[in-house]
Amino acid sequence: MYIRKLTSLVSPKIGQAEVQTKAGILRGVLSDGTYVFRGVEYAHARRFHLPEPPKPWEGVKEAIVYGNACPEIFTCIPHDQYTVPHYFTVQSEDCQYLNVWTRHLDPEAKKPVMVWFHGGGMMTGSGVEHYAYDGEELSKYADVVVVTLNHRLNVLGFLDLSAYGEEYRFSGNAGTADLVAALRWVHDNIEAFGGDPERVMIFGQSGGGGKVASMLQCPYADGLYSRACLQSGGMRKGPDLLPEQSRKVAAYVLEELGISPENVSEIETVWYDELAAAADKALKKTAEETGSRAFFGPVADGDFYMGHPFNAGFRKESAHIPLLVGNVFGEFCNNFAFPKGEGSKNSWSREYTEAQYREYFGGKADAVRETFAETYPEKNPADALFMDGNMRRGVLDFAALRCRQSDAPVYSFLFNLESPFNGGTTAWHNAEIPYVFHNAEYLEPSFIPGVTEILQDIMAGAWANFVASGDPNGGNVPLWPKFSLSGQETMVFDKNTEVKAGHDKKLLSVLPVIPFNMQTLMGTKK
Amino acid sequence: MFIKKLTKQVICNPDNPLAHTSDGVLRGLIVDDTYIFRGIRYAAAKRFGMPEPVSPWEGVKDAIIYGPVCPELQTVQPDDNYTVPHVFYPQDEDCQYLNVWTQSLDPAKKRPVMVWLHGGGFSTGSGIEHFAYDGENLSREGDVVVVTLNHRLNILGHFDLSAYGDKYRYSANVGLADLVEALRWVQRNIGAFGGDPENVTIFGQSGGGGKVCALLQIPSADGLFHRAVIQSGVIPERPGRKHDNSMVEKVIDGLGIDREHIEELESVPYWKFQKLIAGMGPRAGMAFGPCRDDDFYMGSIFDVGPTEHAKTVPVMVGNVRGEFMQNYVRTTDDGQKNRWSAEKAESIVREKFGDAADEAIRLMKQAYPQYPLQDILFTDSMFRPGTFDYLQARAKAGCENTWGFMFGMEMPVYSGTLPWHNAEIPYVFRNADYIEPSYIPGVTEPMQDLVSSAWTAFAKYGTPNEEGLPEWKPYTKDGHWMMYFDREPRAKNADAEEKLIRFLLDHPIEMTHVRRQKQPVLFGGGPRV
Repeated sequence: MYIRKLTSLVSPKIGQAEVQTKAGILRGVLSDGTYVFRGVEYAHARRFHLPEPPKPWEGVKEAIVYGNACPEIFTCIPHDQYTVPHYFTVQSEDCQYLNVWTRHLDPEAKKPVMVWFHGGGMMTGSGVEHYAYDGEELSKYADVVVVTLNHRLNVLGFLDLSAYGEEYRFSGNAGTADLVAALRWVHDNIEAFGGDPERVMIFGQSGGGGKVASMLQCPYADGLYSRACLQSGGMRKGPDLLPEQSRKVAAYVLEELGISPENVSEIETVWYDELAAAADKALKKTAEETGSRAFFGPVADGDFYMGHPFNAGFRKESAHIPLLVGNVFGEFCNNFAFPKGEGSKNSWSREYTEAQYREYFGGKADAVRETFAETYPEKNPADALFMDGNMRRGVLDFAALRCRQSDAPVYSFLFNLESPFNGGTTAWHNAEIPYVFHNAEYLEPSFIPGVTEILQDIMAGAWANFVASGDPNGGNVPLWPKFSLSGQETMVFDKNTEVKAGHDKKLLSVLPVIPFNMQTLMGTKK
Repeated sequence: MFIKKLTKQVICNPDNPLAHTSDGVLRGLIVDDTYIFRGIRYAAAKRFGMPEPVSPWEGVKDAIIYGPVCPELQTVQPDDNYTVPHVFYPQDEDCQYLNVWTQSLDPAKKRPVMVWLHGGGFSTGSGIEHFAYDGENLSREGDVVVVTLNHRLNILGHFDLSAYGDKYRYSANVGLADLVEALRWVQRNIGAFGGDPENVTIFGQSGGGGKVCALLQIPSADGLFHRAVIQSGVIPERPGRKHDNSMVEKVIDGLGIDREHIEELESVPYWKFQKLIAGMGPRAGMAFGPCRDDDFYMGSIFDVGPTEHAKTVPVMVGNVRGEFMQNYVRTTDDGQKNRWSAEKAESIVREKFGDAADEAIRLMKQAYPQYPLQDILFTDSMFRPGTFDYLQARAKAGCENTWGFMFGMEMPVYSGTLPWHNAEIPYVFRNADYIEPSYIPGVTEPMQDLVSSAWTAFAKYGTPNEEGLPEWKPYTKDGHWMMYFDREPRAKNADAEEKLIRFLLDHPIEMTHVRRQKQPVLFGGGPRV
């Protein structure tokens, strides 16, 4: 997050916080015992081409400000700017930058390494887009090396021009290839930052979870990481993006821009806003024509990316990787994103709650009331109206599939802590991130004095244990057994954190899917 | 800055805290006992049109996140993003939003109000663009109501289409008209935030200082504010440029707009302006600013003298020692000025000033005996002459209510860097202990107490004097007083310093290492209209 109340001199000094990387020497800053390197170039790439390693330089390069983020098709203030404070940085196609936080610059230190993939689907975001992504507190608390990064997204990361020549063979996965390049940089350089290249975890939330899933299914990433963690993302069911459709989108983009296939290289110099506008139209056109969702994301070309595990099965080459997988109680169904009724849910009368149950659960109201009370006796019955079922079902299915196809350990979690915001708000999509990063004390709607401090110690500790040994147990983490098909063991993070087995199985079987319009959450174009 | 380590539960409930403005009820936050309202809409406007006040609403509106900021023609990774940590934020033409920090919502409290006008020329920036602009600490420690705001900039704020019809009569100055509208909002509503509408201070830095200069010369703003602070904001040739419409014509032609259908400009997607301006060179986006029209805007103090109203307004004006000439941006030799021996420093100074070296050394020693000789190489002569010109223009007009200052304290970056353009802002806002390149343990705390207290004393009393602060006399015809803020602040006659500055203006020197602005790249992108 860059900004915090300081207690020591931080500004850069010559001869301090300097690291020899493969490409040259970097100088960062030393902040209260943590070395911070911002805006480290890990690759560079021509538009629609594979990334290449950074060019070597002479002398010392400063790494004290964050690098550019990838341009977005449309940047607006998100609906959740209050609950999830976003930091927007300058956007440029020159965006292959990462940031490192570490307590050591000794190559012998060999500390576990945590590489964060940001969310925002495959369309938006950056490695600094949430204030919660700042790695300093996590590095300090758990003595790990934290890496966050930016890479190509949307039309820049996933426009499949493979039909127009060998040089564009991987353009449909350029954004994914950037992730591989970043992991390659970590593998080659992290020792100099006190990290252990043999213990690298990739973790990500929402779209970032999807990116973690894509690494498991990408042969080019094999050997570059040894643990994986998916948070509220990467376990959605649905068809893969196949070349048939991704090529159609690309054809429409070219058509919109008036570029003929022979002159395809002209697309490399089109003004970004025009490219973005064409991409936006091409997606709509493709969706109308095919009658299915059109989007930018990794293309299941059977070469760079093998397709999602739900469709293609887990690859055996990455089957040994221990997994951590989970989500949060409310996700997009929380009462701030989609309010129901009037006023704070926690001040509703029993009758008023009942009326809401009738309205939203209809004939299933009785069943929900009964099973919700069994599942969560300590919670307000109104919370059932603001509970996510979809993502949780995805987590359980994903974990189950993994158990069937791999012997490597799987651990699952559910983050249930309610925020005091607005008189009580169920955990929103992203709510667990500040806890994982040990930053929850910095965020207005997340901080609960006396509760936050304890829970973030447990969560940051569990994640760090997992990257260290492949097992989240140890220290102040309550006993956390592996997920099994029969038991559905899940660590439930809340004021009282404990493992529950199959605790919400029945509830999920009766909870109706309440439809909501994602578009209203994402903001609209003007 | 929004993000800080919290120690208390932040309060944001359906019924608390509420501010009852004349337009409707707003819900904000209580953070560590400070009331915060973010993203309050103060006006709305059609492109190139004058702003209109907001329409009243029913029920309670949330004011918990910042409002969008004005689109910029060129948003680049600034070369000072380390020394001046920036916040970039979603851009939208619908950008007339302000933020309030206060200690009370009781109208009877009548606390002084400080309205901050951001920098970035008249082309870029926002009320939250620097982390340092956060008003919480200034409000709490200074017991004042702090307001920061966004308004129209660049082509959207200053595009002179007056030749194309009466509806565009003020289009060259609508960015300033937004500021006037914001000050009217303050008059109507600040009581609901515990503020005193009869005691409003406008303060701003760089372009924000230029905006303060301009508001002093805008008749429709008379009476909407009562004190003014100009920080590093006086460059004599702006604002108040001659009526030069060549850029306007270039834009119209570049977009292929038929002059018979000039209203098409109102619906051109903003990115088309960006694309066009990008082709005109890296600084082309900064070319837009207020125009003197002798109607809305009367022209700069240097052209027409202070207006009768401006003469009655107490003014503080000053800048910092290094500005854009400090040694982080431009340096020489090994770049480690504080490690140079006295002999080495003198030989470098002699090399740079050549035949004028003896005079340079003499003037430096007279002006700044407390600083090492080599600091002359990094001493500003871009903003400083404007500060003197401004002080003297008011003194000449008979004003005895103008206070001059210089912020001289060296910053810790690379073991010593002269204060850069913007370096005093965290000290004014009492945020310097949050900003890496500004913070020196044990030094920053008392220094920001001192600087910020002078600002809040000025807001309270119209003079920057209060018990515990060094005595600070106004700059008048007969007394050329100046406050020099440093670890040991002192107020003294400024004549020796002025001689040095005028000399430096006439003797520009070259530096071997200059950090260059990166190539402009665009923020956002995508269809915005």
